[in-house]
Amino acid sequence: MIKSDSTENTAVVIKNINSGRRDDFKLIVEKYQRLVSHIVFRMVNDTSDREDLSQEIFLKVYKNLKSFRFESRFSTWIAKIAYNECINHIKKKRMILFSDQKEGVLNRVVDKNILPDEAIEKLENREIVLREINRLDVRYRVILTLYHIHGMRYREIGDVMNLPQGTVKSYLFRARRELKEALIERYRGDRLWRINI
Amino acid sequence: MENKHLTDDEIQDYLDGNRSLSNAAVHIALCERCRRELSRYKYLFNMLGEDPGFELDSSFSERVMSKIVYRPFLSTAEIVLLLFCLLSSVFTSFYFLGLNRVIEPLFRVLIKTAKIPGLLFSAVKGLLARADLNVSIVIYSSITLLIIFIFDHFIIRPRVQKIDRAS
Repeated sequence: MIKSDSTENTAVVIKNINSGRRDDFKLIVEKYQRLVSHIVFRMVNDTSDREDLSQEIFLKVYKNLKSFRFESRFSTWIAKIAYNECINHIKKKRMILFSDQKEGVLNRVVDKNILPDEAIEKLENREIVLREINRLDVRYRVILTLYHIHGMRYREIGDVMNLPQGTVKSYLFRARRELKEALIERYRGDRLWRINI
Repeated sequence: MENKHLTDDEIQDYLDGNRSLSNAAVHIALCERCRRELSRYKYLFNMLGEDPGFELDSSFSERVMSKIVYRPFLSTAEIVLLLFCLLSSVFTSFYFLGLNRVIEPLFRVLIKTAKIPGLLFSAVKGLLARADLNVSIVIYSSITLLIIFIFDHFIIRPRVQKIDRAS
């Protein structure tokens, strides 16, 4: 799990940027680019748009930095901007929102040639799971990422996506159930399940 | 619960650390079917918790920074103009408050030494130098007020409104 907030340091950096130390914003970009890329990559399938969109998100964060009131975690605030920008992008491009999406191209960054058999098998299994995640509803994908990778609570995810906590929990459970059922359906008897049971 | 299989939601809740399902552990120990489901979810949770490896390349932050154009709220020319207005206002206020004995010599020096560029301002400068001090003060105050109005109406207000809209 990625630790995306050490609140005190972040607060100092934000105050420095707001008082004119513009170059400190690079620290913010480096610290939160993983969170932003996870949201963008989960929501936008078009690889050519992903980087531009990620840049736009950070530019928006910079422009609105003075309006951040430290009432929530900074990661939640950035995630909310990223989520809303992705929704706007999807609407602008007239892409399908909140329904089954076709499998996207996964941007893998691991060289399989240097890994032992067991690791390759694990990687392949991960790719299968990632592929199945990409078939889920956009909201489910974002919830799974924010909950499992970034350790956000229901309330924080609700803030990001403008959903009640109960709905977040319900979507999360449904997403995992759908994912499990899809994996059983498509990979029944496959080693994906065998090695772990 | 010992005789009834756990639902998907109960298994997920159990793995999420919901300790109110204390009987779940007992049931899972006795029930092969629920144990299998639990293993599947456990595996899924492990997979979901791993970084999917989506990455923006290492120079991403540099590219973002190159797009952030540094724009101070006021440019140097605007700051000079603002200082000029402030100084003028102070001098004029002093005059009307009867402190002209103190500022009169300073004001005369200012009129003589002011190097204002442009034909229009040269004409104004000539007029100020020739005219009686009282008339000069009135003309000077009017010009200052006009500059302050232009400064406020065309520079400060649009900029503040823009910031308000952005936030």
